[in-house]
Amino acid sequence: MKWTSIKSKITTIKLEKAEIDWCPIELDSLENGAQNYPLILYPDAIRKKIMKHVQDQNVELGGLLVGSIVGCADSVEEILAIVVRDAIPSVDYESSAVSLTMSPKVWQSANSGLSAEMLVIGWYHSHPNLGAFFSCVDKKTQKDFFNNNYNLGLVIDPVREEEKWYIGAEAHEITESQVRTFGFGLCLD
Amino acid sequence: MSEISITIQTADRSKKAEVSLGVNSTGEDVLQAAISNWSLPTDTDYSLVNAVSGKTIKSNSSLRASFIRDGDVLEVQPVLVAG
Repeated sequence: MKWTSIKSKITTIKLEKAEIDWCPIELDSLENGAQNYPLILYPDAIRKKIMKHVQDQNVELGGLLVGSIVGCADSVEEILAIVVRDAIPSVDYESSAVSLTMSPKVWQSANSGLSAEMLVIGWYHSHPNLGAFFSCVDKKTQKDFFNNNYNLGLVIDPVREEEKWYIGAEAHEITESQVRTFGFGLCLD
Repeated sequence: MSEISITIQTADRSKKAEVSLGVNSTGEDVLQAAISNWSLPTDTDYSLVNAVSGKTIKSNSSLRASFIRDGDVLEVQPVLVAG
């Protein structure tokens, strides 16, 4: 077997393009967040979709986050914002009140029909009435499979109405001020 | 044709490789090569999936029997666990 690794191009949306295509409220949020990069732009419609998926259940549920990256350049080295554009629920899973195993089928659901500027940017799961935090298992999954600097991890406790965001291989906690939620969907399609 | 060239990528598409291998190689052979070359976790279960058709390649099936052809893209998809 001859194995030749090749560079995988992760396409970012350049700020110049965002300035042309985005709504004023989105741009305002982006430009006023310079102290807090990267910003997480999280439309309320996606938050509601996730809450609808995980609420009223006493077992852990989860899925993948799909979105795009806004940067100064083509590379993902300097990220200004990570835009969450969809949440793909795992429908083939095993779970309990304290654990969740998502089958690989969720990847197929998330990856089908993605455009060049869209990719799987992270994952989410619920901790019903346990509080929103990353457990040791969650940190390992983040490190193993969401270890790029743009990869997000979202954990939600729908009972206590808590949520926490983490980023990168070391699962650094994202501050509340970095997460911008809009009352409507993002304009850029 | 006894050998084919395919692309293998991780499920998040952050890693890719061009791979030439025999058509009698199995899905397990491909998975083990991916785990080894990319230092993927060994304590995880994976599926190998044709990224275009969405069909899963069984670990003990050969690429020939799975109708994998030159130029196909195979994706290594991990089981995700949370606690």
